[in-house]
Amino acid sequence: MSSELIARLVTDLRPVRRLHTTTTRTALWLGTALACAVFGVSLLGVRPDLITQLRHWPFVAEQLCLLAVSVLGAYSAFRLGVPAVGKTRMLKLLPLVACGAWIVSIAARAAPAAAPMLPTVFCWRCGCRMASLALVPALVSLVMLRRTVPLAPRWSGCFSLLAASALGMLATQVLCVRDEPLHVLYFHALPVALMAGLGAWAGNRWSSALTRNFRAYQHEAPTPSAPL
Amino acid sequence: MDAGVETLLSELLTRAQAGDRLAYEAFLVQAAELVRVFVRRHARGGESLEDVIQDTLLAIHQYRHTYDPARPARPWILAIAKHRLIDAVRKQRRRSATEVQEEATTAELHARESPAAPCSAGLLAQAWAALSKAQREIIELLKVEGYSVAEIARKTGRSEASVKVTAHRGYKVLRKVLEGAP
Repeated sequence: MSSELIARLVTDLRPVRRLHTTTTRTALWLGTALACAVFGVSLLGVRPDLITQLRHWPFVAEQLCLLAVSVLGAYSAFRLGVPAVGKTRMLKLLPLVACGAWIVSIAARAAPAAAPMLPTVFCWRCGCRMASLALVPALVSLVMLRRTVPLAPRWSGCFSLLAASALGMLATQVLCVRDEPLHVLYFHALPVALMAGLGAWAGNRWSSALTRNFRAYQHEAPTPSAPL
Repeated sequence: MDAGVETLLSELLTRAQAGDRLAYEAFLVQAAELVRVFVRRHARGGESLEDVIQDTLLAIHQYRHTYDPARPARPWILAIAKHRLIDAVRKQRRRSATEVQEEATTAELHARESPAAPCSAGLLAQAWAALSKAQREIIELLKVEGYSVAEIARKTGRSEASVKVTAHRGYKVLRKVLEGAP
Protein backbone atom coordinates (compact mmCIF):
# COMPACT_ATOMS: atom_id res chain seq x y z
CA MET A 1 0.00 0.00 0.00
CA SER A 2 2.88 2.40 0.70
CA SER A 3 4.28 1.76 -2.78
CA GLU A 4 0.93 2.74 -4.34
CA LEU A 5 0.81 5.87 -2.21
CA ILE A 6 4.39 6.74 -3.15
CA ALA A 7 3.52 6.37 -6.84
CA ARG A 8 0.54 8.66 -6.35
CA LEU A 9 2.51 11.28 -4.44
CA VAL A 10 5.21 11.28 -7.12
CA THR A 11 2.52 11.83 -9.77
CA ASP A 12 1.11 14.72 -7.72
CA LEU A 13 4.51 16.37 -7.22
CA ARG A 14 4.76 20.08 -8.05
CA PRO A 15 7.64 22.50 -7.34
CA VAL A 16 7.11 24.37 -4.07
CA ARG A 17 8.09 27.76 -2.73
CA ARG A 18 10.20 27.16 0.37
CA LEU A 19 9.15 28.69 3.66
CA HIS A 20 11.21 31.74 4.68
CA THR A 21 13.29 31.47 7.85
CA THR A 22 11.47 32.09 11.12
CA THR A 23 13.38 35.32 11.68
CA THR A 24 12.30 36.65 8.27
CA ARG A 25 8.68 35.68 8.82
CA THR A 26 8.66 37.25 12.30
CA ALA A 27 10.18 40.45 10.89
CA LEU A 28 7.60 40.54 8.07
CA TRP A 29 4.76 40.03 10.49
CA LEU A 30 6.13 42.61 12.94
CA GLY A 31 6.51 45.17 10.18
CA THR A 32 2.89 44.65 9.11
CA ALA A 33 1.62 44.70 12.69
CA LEU A 34 3.54 47.87 13.57
CA ALA A 35 2.26 49.60 10.45
CA CYS A 36 -1.33 48.71 11.47
CA ALA A 37 -0.68 49.92 15.03
CA VAL A 38 0.81 53.23 13.85
CA PHE A 39 -2.13 53.74 11.47
CA GLY A 40 -4.64 53.00 14.25
CA VAL A 41 -2.92 55.27 16.74
CA SER A 42 -2.72 58.12 14.22
CA LEU A 43 -6.49 57.81 13.65
CA LEU A 44 -7.40 57.70 17.33
CA GLY A 45 -4.86 60.25 18.60
CA VAL A 46 -2.08 59.68 21.16
CA ARG A 47 -2.53 60.48 24.83
CA PRO A 48 -1.59 64.09 25.63
CA ASP A 49 0.95 63.12 28.33
CA LEU A 50 2.86 60.60 26.23
CA ILE A 51 6.14 62.56 26.13
CA THR A 52 6.02 62.94 29.94
CA GLN A 53 5.29 59.24 30.42
CA LEU A 54 8.19 58.23 28.21
CA ARG A 55 10.51 59.80 30.84
CA HIS A 56 9.17 57.44 33.52
CA TRP A 57 11.02 54.14 33.54
CA PRO A 58 8.08 52.01 34.85
CA PHE A 59 5.99 53.06 31.84
CA VAL A 60 8.87 52.41 29.44
CA ALA A 61 9.61 49.05 31.10
CA GLU A 62 5.97 47.97 30.63
CA GLN A 63 6.01 48.92 26.96
CA LEU A 64 9.29 47.07 26.41
CA CYS A 65 7.85 43.98 28.11
CA LEU A 66 4.79 44.16 25.85
CA LEU A 67 7.01 44.48 22.79
CA ALA A 68 9.02 41.46 23.97
CA VAL A 69 5.79 39.46 24.46
CA SER A 70 4.75 40.33 20.92
CA VAL A 71 8.07 39.54 19.25
CA LEU A 72 8.71 36.33 21.20
CA GLY A 73 5.10 35.22 20.77
CA ALA A 74 5.25 35.65 17.00
CA TYR A 75 8.67 33.97 16.77
CA SER A 76 7.53 30.97 18.82
CA ALA A 77 4.24 30.65 16.92
CA PHE A 78 6.07 30.44 13.58
CA ARG A 79 8.97 28.33 14.86
CA LEU A 80 6.75 25.70 16.47
CA GLY A 81 5.27 24.94 13.04
CA VAL A 82 8.57 23.87 11.48
CA PRO A 83 9.68 20.29 12.23
CA ALA A 84 12.96 19.71 14.09
CA VAL A 85 14.26 23.28 14.29
CA GLY A 86 14.74 23.94 17.95
CA LYS A 87 14.06 23.15 21.57
CA THR A 88 10.28 23.32 21.77
CA ARG A 89 10.30 23.69 25.53
CA MET A 90 12.30 26.91 25.28
CA LEU A 91 10.05 28.17 22.48
CA LYS A 92 6.99 27.65 24.68
CA LEU A 93 8.65 29.17 27.73
CA LEU A 94 10.07 32.43 26.36
CA PRO A 95 6.77 34.22 25.53
CA LEU A 96 5.37 33.12 28.90
CA VAL A 97 8.42 34.51 30.70
CA ALA A 98 7.94 37.80 28.85
CA CYS A 99 4.26 37.80 29.92
CA GLY A 100 5.36 37.17 33.49
CA ALA A 101 7.79 40.09 33.28
CA TRP A 102 4.99 42.34 32.03
CA ILE A 103 2.66 41.35 34.88
CA VAL A 104 5.46 41.88 37.40
CA SER A 105 6.21 45.32 35.94
CA ILE A 106 2.52 46.26 36.47
CA ALA A 107 2.30 44.74 39.94
CA ALA A 108 5.52 46.47 41.02
CA ARG A 109 3.72 49.80 40.65
CA ALA A 110 0.79 48.72 42.82
CA ALA A 111 0.63 50.24 46.30
CA PRO A 112 1.31 47.55 48.92
CA ALA A 113 -0.98 46.01 51.51
CA ALA A 114 -4.13 48.11 51.70
CA ALA A 115 -4.83 48.38 47.96
CA PRO A 116 -8.26 47.12 46.72
CA MET A 117 -8.23 43.93 44.67
CA LEU A 118 -10.90 44.99 42.18
CA PRO A 119 -11.07 48.13 40.03
CA THR A 120 -13.80 50.61 40.94
CA VAL A 121 -14.61 51.61 37.37
CA PHE A 122 -15.44 49.11 34.63
CA CYS A 123 -13.74 50.10 31.40
CA TRP A 124 -14.42 48.01 28.31
CA ARG A 125 -13.01 50.57 25.86
CA CYS A 126 -9.40 49.47 26.24
CA GLY A 127 -10.24 45.86 25.41
CA CYS A 128 -12.21 46.99 22.33
CA ARG A 129 -9.38 49.27 21.19
CA MET A 130 -6.89 46.46 21.64
CA ALA A 131 -9.09 44.05 19.68
CA SER A 132 -9.55 46.48 16.79
CA LEU A 133 -5.83 47.33 16.65
CA ALA A 134 -4.90 43.63 16.90
CA LEU A 135 -7.42 42.37 14.33
CA VAL A 136 -5.34 42.73 11.16
CA PRO A 137 -2.08 41.50 12.77
CA ALA A 138 -3.99 38.50 14.16
CA LEU A 139 -5.44 37.61 10.75
CA VAL A 140 -2.05 38.03 9.08
CA SER A 141 -0.36 35.73 11.62
CA LEU A 142 -3.07 33.06 11.27
CA VAL A 143 -2.73 33.18 7.47
CA MET A 144 1.06 32.86 7.80
CA LEU A 145 0.62 29.88 10.13
CA ARG A 146 -1.31 27.99 7.45
CA ARG A 147 1.93 27.22 5.61
CA THR A 148 3.43 25.60 8.69
CA VAL A 149 2.95 22.10 10.12
CA PRO A 150 0.39 21.87 12.97
CA LEU A 151 2.87 20.18 15.31
CA ALA A 152 1.64 22.14 18.32
CA PRO A 153 -1.50 23.88 17.03
CA ARG A 154 -2.79 25.08 20.38
CA TRP A 155 0.53 26.67 21.28
CA SER A 156 1.00 28.19 17.81
CA GLY A 157 -2.54 29.60 17.84
CA CYS A 158 -2.15 30.88 21.41
CA PHE A 159 1.18 32.59 20.72
CA SER A 160 0.08 34.12 17.42
CA LEU A 161 -2.93 35.82 19.05
CA LEU A 162 -0.84 36.66 22.11
CA ALA A 163 1.64 38.44 19.83
CA ALA A 164 -1.10 40.33 17.99
CA SER A 165 -2.96 41.34 21.15
CA ALA A 166 0.25 42.38 22.95
CA LEU A 167 1.10 44.70 20.09
CA GLY A 168 -2.48 45.94 20.03
CA MET A 169 -2.26 46.64 23.76
CA LEU A 170 1.10 48.41 23.32
CA ALA A 171 -0.67 50.75 20.88
CA THR A 172 -3.66 51.05 23.25
CA GLN A 173 -1.37 52.15 26.08
CA VAL A 174 -0.20 54.98 23.85
CA LEU A 175 -3.87 56.07 23.68
CA CYS A 176 -5.17 55.26 27.16
CA VAL A 177 -4.37 57.84 29.87
CA ARG A 178 -5.22 55.50 32.75
CA ASP A 179 -2.12 53.89 34.22
CA GLU A 180 -3.41 52.65 37.58
CA PRO A 181 -2.11 49.12 38.13
CA LEU A 182 -5.57 47.64 38.73
CA HIS A 183 -6.92 49.18 35.53
CA VAL A 184 -3.95 47.91 33.56
CA LEU A 185 -4.19 44.41 35.11
CA TYR A 186 -7.94 43.96 34.56
CA PHE A 187 -8.56 45.92 31.37
CA HIS A 188 -5.23 45.60 29.59
CA ALA A 189 -3.61 42.34 30.72
CA LEU A 190 -6.81 40.31 31.02
CA PRO A 191 -8.03 41.01 27.44
CA VAL A 192 -4.59 39.96 26.18
CA ALA A 193 -4.86 36.72 28.16
CA LEU A 194 -8.35 36.12 26.75
CA MET A 195 -7.13 36.65 23.19
CA ALA A 196 -4.32 34.14 23.82
CA GLY A 197 -6.91 31.63 25.07
CA LEU A 198 -9.00 32.24 21.95
CA GLY A 199 -5.89 31.61 19.87
CA ALA A 200 -5.35 28.25 21.57
CA TRP A 201 -8.94 27.28 20.74
CA ALA A 202 -8.59 28.49 17.14
CA GLY A 203 -5.33 26.54 16.80
CA ASN A 204 -7.08 23.36 17.86
CA ARG A 205 -9.94 23.90 15.37
CA TRP A 206 -7.41 24.60 12.62
CA SER A 207 -5.62 21.34 13.36
CA SER A 208 -8.91 19.39 13.25
CA ALA A 209 -9.84 21.00 9.92
CA LEU A 210 -6.44 20.13 8.48
CA THR A 211 -6.79 16.51 9.66
CA ARG A 212 -10.17 16.28 7.88
CA ASN A 213 -8.66 17.67 4.64
CA PHE A 214 -5.81 15.22 5.04
CA ARG A 215 -8.15 12.26 5.24
CA ALA A 216 -10.15 13.60 2.28
CA TYR A 217 -6.92 13.74 0.24
CA GLN A 218 -6.22 10.11 1.12
CA HIS A 219 -9.49 9.02 -0.45
CA GLU A 220 -9.43 11.28 -3.51
CA ALA A 221 -8.62 9.92 -6.93
CA PRO A 222 -5.08 10.82 -8.00
CA THR A 223 -4.80 14.01 -10.05
CA PRO A 224 -3.66 13.52 -13.65
CA SER A 225 -0.01 14.40 -14.09
CA ALA A 226 0.75 17.76 -15.64
CA PRO A 227 3.95 18.58 -17.53
CA LEU A 228 6.60 20.16 -15.22
CA MET B 1 22.55 6.76 9.91
CA ASP B 2 25.85 7.58 8.27
CA ALA B 3 26.70 11.01 6.93
CA GLY B 4 26.59 9.84 3.29
CA VAL B 5 23.00 8.62 3.54
CA GLU B 6 22.03 11.75 5.46
CA THR B 7 23.50 13.97 2.73
CA LEU B 8 21.77 11.92 0.03
CA LEU B 9 18.41 12.22 1.78
CA SER B 10 18.83 15.97 2.09
CA GLU B 11 19.84 16.32 -1.56
CA LEU B 12 16.93 14.19 -2.79
CA LEU B 13 14.41 16.24 -0.81
CA THR B 14 15.91 19.52 -2.01
CA ARG B 15 15.60 18.34 -5.62
CA ALA B 16 12.06 17.16 -4.93
CA GLN B 17 11.16 20.65 -3.72
CA ALA B 18 12.16 21.85 -7.18
CA GLY B 19 9.87 19.26 -8.78
CA ASP B 20 12.29 16.40 -9.59
CA ARG B 21 10.05 13.32 -9.57
CA LEU B 22 12.80 10.71 -9.76
CA ALA B 23 14.54 12.25 -6.76
CA TYR B 24 11.22 12.44 -4.93
CA GLU B 25 10.45 8.79 -5.50
CA ALA B 26 13.88 7.76 -4.23
CA PHE B 27 13.44 10.05 -1.23
CA LEU B 28 10.00 8.68 -0.34
CA VAL B 29 11.20 5.07 -0.50
CA GLN B 30 14.04 5.90 1.91
CA ALA B 31 11.76 7.98 4.12
CA ALA B 32 9.15 5.20 4.31
CA GLU B 33 11.81 2.76 5.52
CA LEU B 34 13.10 5.25 8.09
CA VAL B 35 9.58 5.87 9.36
CA ARG B 36 8.83 2.13 9.47
CA VAL B 37 11.82 1.52 11.76
CA PHE B 38 10.89 4.51 13.94
CA VAL B 39 7.24 3.51 14.30
CA ARG B 40 8.08 -0.13 15.07
CA ARG B 41 10.35 1.07 17.85
CA HIS B 42 7.86 3.53 19.37
CA ALA B 43 4.38 2.20 18.60
CA ARG B 44 2.53 0.71 21.53
CA GLY B 45 0.79 -2.02 19.58
CA GLY B 46 -2.72 -0.71 19.03
CA GLU B 47 -1.90 1.54 16.10
CA SER B 48 -1.74 0.29 12.53
CA LEU B 49 1.88 0.54 11.35
CA GLU B 50 0.86 0.99 7.74
CA ASP B 51 -1.65 3.76 8.60
CA VAL B 52 1.01 5.77 10.44
CA ILE B 53 3.56 5.32 7.64
CA GLN B 54 1.04 6.45 5.04
CA ASP B 55 -0.08 9.41 7.16
CA THR B 56 3.56 10.42 7.56
CA LEU B 57 4.25 10.20 3.82
CA LEU B 58 1.17 12.31 3.15
CA ALA B 59 2.29 14.87 5.72
CA ILE B 60 5.78 14.92 4.19
CA HIS B 61 4.18 15.56 0.80
CA GLN B 62 1.92 18.30 2.12
CA TYR B 63 4.61 20.08 4.13
CA ARG B 64 7.71 19.50 2.01
CA HIS B 65 8.02 23.28 1.57
CA THR B 66 8.94 23.58 5.29
CA TYR B 67 12.18 21.67 4.86
CA ASP B 68 15.31 23.84 5.03
CA PRO B 69 18.13 22.36 2.87
CA ALA B 70 20.71 23.80 5.29
CA ARG B 71 19.48 21.34 7.93
CA PRO B 72 19.59 17.53 8.03
CA ALA B 73 16.57 15.74 6.57
CA ARG B 74 16.35 12.84 9.02
CA PRO B 75 15.24 14.87 12.09
CA TRP B 76 12.70 16.66 9.88
CA ILE B 77 11.21 13.35 8.69
CA LEU B 78 11.16 11.86 12.18
CA ALA B 79 9.58 14.98 13.71
CA ILE B 80 6.67 14.57 11.29
CA ALA B 81 6.52 10.81 11.95
CA LYS B 82 6.42 11.43 15.71
CA HIS B 83 3.57 13.90 15.27
CA ARG B 84 1.55 11.44 13.15
CA LEU B 85 2.25 8.62 15.62
CA ILE B 86 1.00 10.71 18.55
CA ASP B 87 -2.09 11.53 16.52
CA ALA B 88 -2.64 7.82 15.79
CA VAL B 89 -2.28 6.93 19.49
CA ARG B 90 -4.88 9.55 20.41
CA LYS B 91 -7.22 8.33 17.66
CA GLN B 92 -6.78 4.73 18.85
CA ARG B 93 -7.66 5.73 22.42
CA ARG B 94 -10.83 7.48 21.20
CA ARG B 95 -11.74 4.46 19.08
CA SER B 96 -11.24 2.01 21.94
CA ALA B 97 -13.72 3.98 23.97
CA THR B 98 -16.39 3.76 21.27
CA GLU B 99 -15.50 0.33 19.87
CA VAL B 100 -17.49 -1.62 22.44
CA GLN B 101 -20.56 0.42 21.61
CA GLU B 102 -19.98 0.00 17.85
CA GLU B 103 -19.49 -3.76 18.21
CA ALA B 104 -22.78 -4.15 20.05
CA THR B 105 -24.61 -2.11 17.39
CA THR B 106 -22.95 -4.05 14.54
CA ALA B 107 -23.84 -7.37 16.17
CA GLU B 108 -27.45 -6.22 16.51
CA LEU B 109 -27.51 -5.17 12.86
CA HIS B 110 -26.08 -8.52 11.77
CA ALA B 111 -28.89 -10.27 13.62
CA ARG B 112 -31.51 -8.04 12.04
CA GLU B 113 -30.08 -8.34 8.54
CA SER B 114 -31.04 -11.97 8.11
CA PRO B 115 -33.89 -12.51 5.91
CA ALA B 116 -36.49 -9.83 5.72
CA ALA B 117 -39.01 -9.41 2.93
CA PRO B 118 -37.57 -10.12 -0.54
CA CYS B 119 -36.39 -7.04 -2.50
CA SER B 120 -36.50 -6.32 -6.21
CA ALA B 121 -33.26 -6.27 -8.13
CA GLY B 122 -33.84 -2.61 -8.96
CA LEU B 123 -34.20 -1.65 -5.30
CA LEU B 124 -31.05 -3.60 -4.38
CA ALA B 125 -29.16 -1.83 -7.15
CA GLN B 126 -30.43 1.50 -5.85
CA ALA B 127 -29.33 0.65 -2.30
CA TRP B 128 -25.91 -0.47 -3.56
CA ALA B 129 -25.44 2.74 -5.51
CA ALA B 130 -26.20 4.76 -2.36
CA LEU B 131 -23.08 3.38 -0.67
CA SER B 132 -19.74 5.16 -0.80
CA LYS B 133 -16.85 3.49 -2.65
CA ALA B 134 -15.18 2.44 0.61
CA GLN B 135 -18.44 1.02 2.04
CA ARG B 136 -19.11 -0.96 -1.14
CA GLU B 137 -15.60 -2.38 -1.13
CA ILE B 138 -15.75 -3.48 2.49
CA ILE B 139 -19.27 -4.94 2.40
CA GLU B 140 -18.42 -6.83 -0.76
CA LEU B 141 -15.30 -8.29 0.85
CA LEU B 142 -17.18 -9.12 4.06
CA LYS B 143 -20.45 -10.50 2.75
CA VAL B 144 -19.81 -11.61 -0.82
CA GLU B 145 -16.23 -12.82 -0.73
CA GLY B 146 -16.37 -13.91 2.90
CA TYR B 147 -13.19 -12.31 4.24
CA SER B 148 -12.84 -11.69 7.95
CA VAL B 149 -12.43 -8.19 9.38
CA ALA B 150 -8.74 -8.85 10.10
CA GLU B 151 -8.13 -10.05 6.54
CA ILE B 152 -9.90 -7.03 5.07
CA ALA B 153 -7.86 -4.72 7.32
CA ARG B 154 -4.62 -6.27 6.02
CA LYS B 155 -5.82 -6.24 2.42
CA THR B 156 -6.98 -2.61 2.40
CA GLY B 157 -4.35 -1.17 4.75
CA ARG B 158 -7.01 0.10 7.17
CA SER B 159 -7.30 -0.68 10.86
CA GLU B 160 -9.83 -3.29 12.02
CA ALA B 161 -11.81 -0.62 13.84
CA SER B 162 -12.03 1.41 10.63
CA VAL B 163 -13.30 -1.65 8.70
CA LYS B 164 -16.00 -2.31 11.30
CA VAL B 165 -17.10 1.34 11.43
CA THR B 166 -17.24 1.60 7.62
CA ALA B 167 -19.25 -1.64 7.37
CA HIS B 168 -21.62 -0.48 10.08
CA ARG B 169 -22.23 2.81 8.30
CA GLY B 170 -22.77 0.96 5.04
CA TYR B 171 -25.40 -1.31 6.65
CA LYS B 172 -27.18 1.77 7.97
CA VAL B 173 -27.33 3.27 4.48
CA LEU B 174 -28.60 -0.02 3.00
CA ARG B 175 -31.23 -0.35 5.69
CA LYS B 176 -32.40 3.21 5.18
CA VAL B 177 -32.85 2.73 1.44
CA LEU B 178 -34.41 -0.74 1.70
CA GLU B 179 -36.75 0.08 4.56
CA GLY B 180 -37.66 3.46 3.08
CA ALA B 181 -38.88 1.92 -0.17
CA PRO B 182 -42.68 1.62 -0.52
